[in-house]
Amino acid sequence: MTSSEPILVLDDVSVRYPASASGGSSGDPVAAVRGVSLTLARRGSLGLAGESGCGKSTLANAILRLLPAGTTIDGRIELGGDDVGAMNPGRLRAIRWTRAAIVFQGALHALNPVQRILDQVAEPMLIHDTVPSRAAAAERVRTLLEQVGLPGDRADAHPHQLSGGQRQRVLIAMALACEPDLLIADEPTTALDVMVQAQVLALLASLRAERNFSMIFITHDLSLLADVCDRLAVMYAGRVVEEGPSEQVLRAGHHPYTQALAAAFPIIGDPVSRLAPSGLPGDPPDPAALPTGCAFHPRCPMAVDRCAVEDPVLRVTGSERSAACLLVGERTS
Amino acid sequence: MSRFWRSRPGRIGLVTLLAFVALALAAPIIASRTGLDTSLARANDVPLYASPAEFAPLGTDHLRRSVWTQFVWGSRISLFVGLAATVVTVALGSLVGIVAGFAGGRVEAALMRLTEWFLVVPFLPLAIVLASILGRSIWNIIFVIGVTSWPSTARLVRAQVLTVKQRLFVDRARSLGASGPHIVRHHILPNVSGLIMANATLAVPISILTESTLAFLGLGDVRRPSWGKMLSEAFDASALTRNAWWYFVPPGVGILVVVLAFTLIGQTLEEMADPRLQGRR
Repeated sequence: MTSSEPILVLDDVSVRYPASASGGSSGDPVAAVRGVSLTLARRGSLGLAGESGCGKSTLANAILRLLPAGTTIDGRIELGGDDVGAMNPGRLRAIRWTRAAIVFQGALHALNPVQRILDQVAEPMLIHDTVPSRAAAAERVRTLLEQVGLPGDRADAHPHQLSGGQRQRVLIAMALACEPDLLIADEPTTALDVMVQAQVLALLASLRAERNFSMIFITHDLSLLADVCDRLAVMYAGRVVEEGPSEQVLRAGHHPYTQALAAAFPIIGDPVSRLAPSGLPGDPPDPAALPTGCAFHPRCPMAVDRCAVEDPVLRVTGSERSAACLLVGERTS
Repeated sequence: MSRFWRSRPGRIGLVTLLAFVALALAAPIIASRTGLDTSLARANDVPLYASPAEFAPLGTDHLRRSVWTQFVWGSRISLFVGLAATVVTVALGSLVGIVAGFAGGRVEAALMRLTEWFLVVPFLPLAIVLASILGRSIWNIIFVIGVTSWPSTARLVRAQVLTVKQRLFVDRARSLGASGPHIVRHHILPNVSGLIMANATLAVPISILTESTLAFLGLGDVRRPSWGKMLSEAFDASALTRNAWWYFVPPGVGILVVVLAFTLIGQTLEEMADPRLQGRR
């Protein structure tokens, strides 16, 4: 990946939700994302992994400023060289879906139940005037549906007439409608069974090879990410705790949290992992009441006294790799 | 339209309604207004409470007037007032409900306080006051019904908009780059139209009955018969105890059948707006 300019640059991005929206009765805003810096190269793919509530989806939605009113976004988000934070509402609407499109999770709910597939997939094209006429849009919808492996005549169906996998394919077709530079896949396979999951992933990979878009793939299932993404960022409590080439991060995580996540997925055929399945006890911390020091230390199997006091920053721990753990230098070198 | 026609309830409802509309439009041809002239009837020796057998086709009432003539001319007023008041109610209520539900914040607070204010104003006194200030005409009756019955529609529509607004496909539309008006037109409205239709079909009979209430209280146009007015006059004249069924059955059945037709049409429209309902029942 030696592209001139990265498609997406996040520089010290923080997102805070107003206290009332997050369920608290009063008090300070709650930080869901705390100082994330990431770079995604053109045609690159980045996996975002972490438990529920770690800020993955919030970060993804922040890229197109799709967060609820009252949410504050600090830091700089550059999409294709333009600062998203400095855009006025009209400009923002214009770049939504044309620069970056989202494949939502929960395909049933992301589709309007009373509209035909045709109208919904055509919607972004008609909003952004990327097609000359409705007929041209309909023609393109059929092409798109065929590209994602659905018969073109499914365009006349309503969402409830499709299966879960088909609906997810429709959402992918919709995301590609305006030829975005960046595709944000927000847990696109979560609600699907394993076979369909594999099909959708294969589809995304082949489409990416064909069309050269960049991709951010969000999931809590680390095993998916190795196949789909070049690089992997692991998030915990609103921060990136480890980042690096996905194969290496998965196989030999530097951060104890990454190791615990990777170990939670048994390797089929490996008797060691089958006989001694390892999970990670405890729950992710409440973003309104984070532990002192390293946010992970209460659950960390390797924590020492220092971890409760010092807050580790993300630092380089190897070739193209970085991790945020106080102990990591001692163990890797 | 062809989808509508394929549904049997919709077909029955529409044909029935069109039959009544045709009846109302053809009133001058099929029922001469002379049937309402009591002095002429007395001069022609038309009997009081003549049964349909004695005086075709539907007999006479306690003032020797032809029930058929009243029924036909009454359908004009009842249908027109019912439809027009419903249009006012549903349009105003849906507009307020959608704007309040979608906009949220201060706009919503202001609109809903206004709605509540109209909701607590007692209907009959307001209707009487308005009717006596504005004078007696069917236009004022339509205005009074519309102005007093939109708040419940507004609250209903707002509640539905609030739930639809939370759905993921609205977020998706926003992330497509859709503007507020676009989202309302393409995503909110189609998802609340079923409710609006159902509400409209309920508003028609209520409007027809409200018209008869106001007519009964003497706030209607005295020169024009309506089904509601026929019913209240039949009641006043003790038609039931005299066994003069031909006096109260036609307007009663008329209201029933028209209301049924609207319900069937509303059901079909609701099915068309929400494809998930197709084939159920």
